[in-house]
Amino acid sequence: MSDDIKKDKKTEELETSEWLYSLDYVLQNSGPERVVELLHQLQIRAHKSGVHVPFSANTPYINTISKEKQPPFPGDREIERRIKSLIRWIAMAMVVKANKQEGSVGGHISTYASAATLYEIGFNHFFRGKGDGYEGDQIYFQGHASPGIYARAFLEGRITKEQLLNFRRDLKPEGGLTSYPHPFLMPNFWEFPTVSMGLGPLMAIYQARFNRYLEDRGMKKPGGKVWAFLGDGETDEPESLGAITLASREKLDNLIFVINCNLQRLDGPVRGNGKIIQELEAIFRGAGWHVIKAIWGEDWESLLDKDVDGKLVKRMGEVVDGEYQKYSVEGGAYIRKNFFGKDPDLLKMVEKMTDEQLFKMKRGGHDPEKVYAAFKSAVDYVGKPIVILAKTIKGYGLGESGEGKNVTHQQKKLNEDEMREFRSRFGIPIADEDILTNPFYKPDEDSQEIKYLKERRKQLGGFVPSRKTDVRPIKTPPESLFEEFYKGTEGREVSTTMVFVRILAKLLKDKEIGKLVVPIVPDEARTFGMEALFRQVGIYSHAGQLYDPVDKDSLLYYKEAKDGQILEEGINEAGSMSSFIAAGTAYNTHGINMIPFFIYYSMFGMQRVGDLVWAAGDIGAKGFMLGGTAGRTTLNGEGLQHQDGHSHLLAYPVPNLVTYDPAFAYELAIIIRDGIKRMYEDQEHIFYYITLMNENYAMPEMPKGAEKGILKGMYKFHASDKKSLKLKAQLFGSGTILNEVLKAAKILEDDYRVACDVWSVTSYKELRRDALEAERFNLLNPTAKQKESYIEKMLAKEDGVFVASSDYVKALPDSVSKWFPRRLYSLGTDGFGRSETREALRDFFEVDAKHIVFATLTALFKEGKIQDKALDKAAKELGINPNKRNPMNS
Amino acid sequence: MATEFKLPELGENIESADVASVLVKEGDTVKKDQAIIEIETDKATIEVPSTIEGTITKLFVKSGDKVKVGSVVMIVDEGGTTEVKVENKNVAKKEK
Ligand SMILES: Cc1ncc(C[n+]2csc(CCOP(=O)(O)OP(=O)(O)O)c2C)c(N)n1
Ligand SMILES: [Mg+2]
Repeated sequence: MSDDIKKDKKTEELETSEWLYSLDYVLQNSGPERVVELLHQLQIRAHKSGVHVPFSANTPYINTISKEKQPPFPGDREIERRIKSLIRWIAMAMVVKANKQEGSVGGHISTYASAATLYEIGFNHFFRGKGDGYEGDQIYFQGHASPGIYARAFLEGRITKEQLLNFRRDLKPEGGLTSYPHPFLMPNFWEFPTVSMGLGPLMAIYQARFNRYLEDRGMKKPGGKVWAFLGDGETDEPESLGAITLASREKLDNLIFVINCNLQRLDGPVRGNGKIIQELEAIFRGAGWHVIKAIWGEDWESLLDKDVDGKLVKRMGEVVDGEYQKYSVEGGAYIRKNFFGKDPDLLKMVEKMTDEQLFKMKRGGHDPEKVYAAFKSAVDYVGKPIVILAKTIKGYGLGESGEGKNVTHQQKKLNEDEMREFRSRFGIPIADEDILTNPFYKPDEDSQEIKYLKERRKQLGGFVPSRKTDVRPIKTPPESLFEEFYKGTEGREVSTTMVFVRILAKLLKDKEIGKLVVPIVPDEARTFGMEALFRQVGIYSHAGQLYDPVDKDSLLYYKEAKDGQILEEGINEAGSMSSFIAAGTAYNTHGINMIPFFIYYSMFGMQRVGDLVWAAGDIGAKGFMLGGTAGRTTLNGEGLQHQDGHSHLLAYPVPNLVTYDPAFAYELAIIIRDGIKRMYEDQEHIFYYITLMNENYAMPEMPKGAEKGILKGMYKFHASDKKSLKLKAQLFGSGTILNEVLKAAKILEDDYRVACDVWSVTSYKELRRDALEAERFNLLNPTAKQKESYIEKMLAKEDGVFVASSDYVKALPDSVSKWFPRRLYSLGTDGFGRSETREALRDFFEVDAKHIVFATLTALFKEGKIQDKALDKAAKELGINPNKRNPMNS
Repeated sequence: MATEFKLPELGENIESADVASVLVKEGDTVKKDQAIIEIETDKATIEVPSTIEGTITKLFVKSGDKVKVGSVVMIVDEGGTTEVKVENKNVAKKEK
């Protein structure tokens, strides 16, 4: 080294220590805020002079809460450790036992093993129950950590030994424990279905937001936190992170994410070549969250105390996750050589420690005091949502049989030796001979452990998770509110969407239930003509309205208000659906029967957020999903990715989703009124999907006695009075296509002498479910009095051919055709949509009046009722092209 | 004092609308924010609330009319409230 360089280096070192000294001085004399201000000023000065400070949203790879700032631990560490050990053991044993039975049923050990301290600190010190005077927390438990949650409930006396033995055996008559959190299967226990990864964090954000909404509208007392526990691998789901800016924008400091960073997912490392904690820190800080990292345990922090020159922090920061994972597998000698061995000063730091001591140094997420400090600081934090990034080891405590191994996620079988080792490591008082046969050890009721654990839960407001399902029913609004719709529009042309908005506006005004209604819309209010509601009830905004809207002077101005009622979610169907779920489950989270009406572009519902719809079914969400601009040929012009002709088919699998495709105002009114009655007065656990169209036509008056049929799925709208005609057809139509059917009926009667009865089919799904019910009964009870489906009852005496048409795929009518007394011919809109006029589209998809007429004539021909010549003539008259290309595959 | 109530600015790009129904009649007392008429655009039905209080002395619209933004819907006498109440009673009597 030349003298010059040496001298420069010396000057630089001097300069550095002067600056550092100044900083220490300011910190001591004026405090941290002044330091921040000075650094900010320095940054501005540098920026102005063209020095570009590289951007980093990261802080060093050490705990956010320093040892000095750590609050004293209020619990009894020894008892809590013993409780946690028992839970670890029971959780492991229940999975192992479940898989020793014949037909192994699976389960996970290593997830809970890594998360045990995170949960136990929560249970003993933070999670609020719903006891008297408590608002209660909503806790989204990581799905595959459920064995640990069951194990704790066993110690709490809420779950029996038999149930533990029936883990993943839902069908055991004495009751089983469901694999993951499924409120549908354990309605008094689980509150939130989380196991479809990504949905938990997304729903949690909207739950926290909905809690605020209720508070701002004066419908709920302030208080309560929303906790979402997620895996680090889970954060790769776009749903996990996609809505985090909503949480910061709305300043949801009632929301706490706890990400268990065990560095592994199912197949291997989450970020072998990087650092998941740093990556997540940058994402969340960038999005405006408060980030708390709990990376290192007590022993590591003692080492950090000796790290005067920052070499240890630097080393901690440069090692990648794949390597950290290896430390958890290889042992102390490996850590000494590969972590500390990079620098003689680091080696010196640990020279007095044995390899075993090195190996046992804990990560932050396994150190109760670090976890407590992080949780405490999170619940006290004001103004931002909080995320805790806790570093752990996957399969912690499994030792050779799984700790940190790439295969650990699927570890579900331990042999007797491995179990014995686990038992000894955690000091479980179980004799060798009981290990396999009777592993579910529970201390006496008056043992320190059980007394402590129960007392803690009592102090915190009762056991969690638990779910109350009894709420007071509400009264269905009176018929008078809906009557105007039964009368028809006397020639005025309106769409079912307009009718819906009018029903909604009236419901919002209703004295009894108006305030319970929650309109949810993803940036389509104007599409559906809902802008009048902006002014009527306001758009919810926690901040109120800080600006003068451009349209302030007009009647329908864009009104945002702190007590606004509409949830305007922006272009965000997944978020809207999550709001729907939060509102639709308020009956058990908050004991309030909120009634969500989520209206959206029908194309972007079932196929876009289908998994959330499934979760809504599991959780028992109530309310109405309204697919607007529905119908492949009714929404014209918008083309292939907008025109929906299949959402009704996609809604088939959801068992408790009731669906309708109504054509007329009165049908819609009857359906909505009945829906409110069934969900909120009779308290059925169902929810609704109804399609709405934007085609305007005169709404007829309700035929006498139609109500029952509307709800059952079909009714005769019009009976032919042409008694003298020999030919007969029964025509079925749904939605707007019912109008085409009516036109076809007229043509058939006038021009082809076919008498036509016209039926409105409001729901193929309802018809099918009813028929399946009867069929199943008959199959299982062949000698009993056989049941008849509604379809069979209605059609038994009807003559003629059957032709069904709708704006949806042919699979819908086909799904009920076997219960028709004769063959059913289906017309529908299979294929990709097109930008075109309605007329052209209905011709293209062969669902217009002329195709319905021709299909009917063809059906009559097949039945031998008319001659081929007559058919040829009709084809010409109607303009049917038999060589037309098939919309299904063109 | 007689005041004209005009069809207010409805929303951006809406210049006129059809009257779907009239919710008041001459002689009625109206309050601020009370719905006067219901109008229909091609997509929505909108209730138009009154911005003034008093007794309707003249009503210019009926169901089915097309009304332009800014055109007069009704004239309201904004006299003292007691007077209005008396007036109201008289109306009721007349109707019997
Ligand atoms: C949407 C979805 N895809 C896949 C799975 C299957 N799965 C369950 S757990 C898991 C790995 C979880 O890793 P991580 O989130 O890191 O959780 P950990 O067990 O490590 O705490 C996977 C892929 C799932 N449950 N949901
Ligand atoms: Mg993981």
